[in-house]
Amino acid sequence: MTLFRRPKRDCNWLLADKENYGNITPGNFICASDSTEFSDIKYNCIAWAVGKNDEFWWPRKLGGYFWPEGLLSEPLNRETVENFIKAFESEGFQKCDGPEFEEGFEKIALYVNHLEVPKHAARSLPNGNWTSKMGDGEDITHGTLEAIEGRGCGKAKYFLKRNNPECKKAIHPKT
Amino acid sequence: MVKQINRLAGNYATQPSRMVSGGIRYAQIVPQAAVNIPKPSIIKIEKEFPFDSEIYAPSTGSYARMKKLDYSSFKLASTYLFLAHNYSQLAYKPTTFTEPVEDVQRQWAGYSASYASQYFPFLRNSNVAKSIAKICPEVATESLAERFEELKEKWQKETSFHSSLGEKFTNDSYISIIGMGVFALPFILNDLVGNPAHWFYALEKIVGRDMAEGAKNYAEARLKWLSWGREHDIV
Repeated sequence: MTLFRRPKRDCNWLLADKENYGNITPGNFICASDSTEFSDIKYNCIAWAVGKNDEFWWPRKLGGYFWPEGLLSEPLNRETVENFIKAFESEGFQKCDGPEFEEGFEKIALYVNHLEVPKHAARSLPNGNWTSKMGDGEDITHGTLEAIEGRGCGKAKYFLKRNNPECKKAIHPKT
Repeated sequence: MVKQINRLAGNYATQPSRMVSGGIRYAQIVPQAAVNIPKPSIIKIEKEFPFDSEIYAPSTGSYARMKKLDYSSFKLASTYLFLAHNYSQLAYKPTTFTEPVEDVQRQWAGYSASYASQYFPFLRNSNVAKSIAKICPEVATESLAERFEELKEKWQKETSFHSSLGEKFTNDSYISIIGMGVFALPFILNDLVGNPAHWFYALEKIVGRDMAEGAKNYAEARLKWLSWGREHDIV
């Protein structure tokens, strides 16, 4: 049974939203899911960054949302980078210098706004591209981190990595 | 139509209808000016009405603006609300004025009881009542349903691209929905039945407790809140 079926979407809303996603163009991302199912809202970019699609990760103690045990619940819009890094570390990631492809590792890029408040996270794919869950919408694959930078996601500033033997070489299908 | 309403309403003080968003007409009935209405039982209820209030009785829904909200007042308010609402309906249907007064009174009483039990039975829970007693809904001239839909649409448009709960929960429209207080509960919970949205924070703030405490994912929390809503006859 399909719950909450929505009209099929094609990520065009991203292209139309120049205010929040000014860098995105038809040539620098591909829509990776159609966002027609209930799963739209049951996970977010933070959960997706650690490879989960059945939890909504946010540092808020509230039924329906998940945050690793022992980590802080934080005030809205005053969440901290340190708390997010600890959450990623609980899944085996560790801080690293930058987003450059490293064979044998997958990476997370944490996006923050101008106040250093975390707003988004993207995860590297084995081929060197990046994957992001866009708000309540679709998963997308983007060739660069800059493609989704802007008012919506903030700027990619902090990076973490963990072992993943599947990550062998960088192939960017969209250049 | 305005003249017709005023004529049919007779001594019942009805101010000119207004056009608001959606083009629906509203007949504003001012209880303080309604003492001339020739129905003794109704006058009695009006005199018992304990606080300054204005009743709006649109054709598609009604609510009371209350400057205080507590359980006993609310029971009277909901009673009066349906009296006003039903009177408005009668005004639109002049033939019903020919019914015996007793029948009309019985009908009104039935409506008010039905209304109270349908939407606000959770007020019987004194703890919840204490929590929501702090909430004073601001005046709005449109119906609650219209206001809720308008705010929800604006909220989703402005925040659906965010993953941050901070962005979602501190949005002006979302806060306005929380500000609707208990009146928003039926709309939120019914929305939750058929439409996935981040309502858990608003529900917690309105009710004063997290009824989905401990739920680790959206589906689990949704079921817990809907279960609570059904338990209290709100959904």
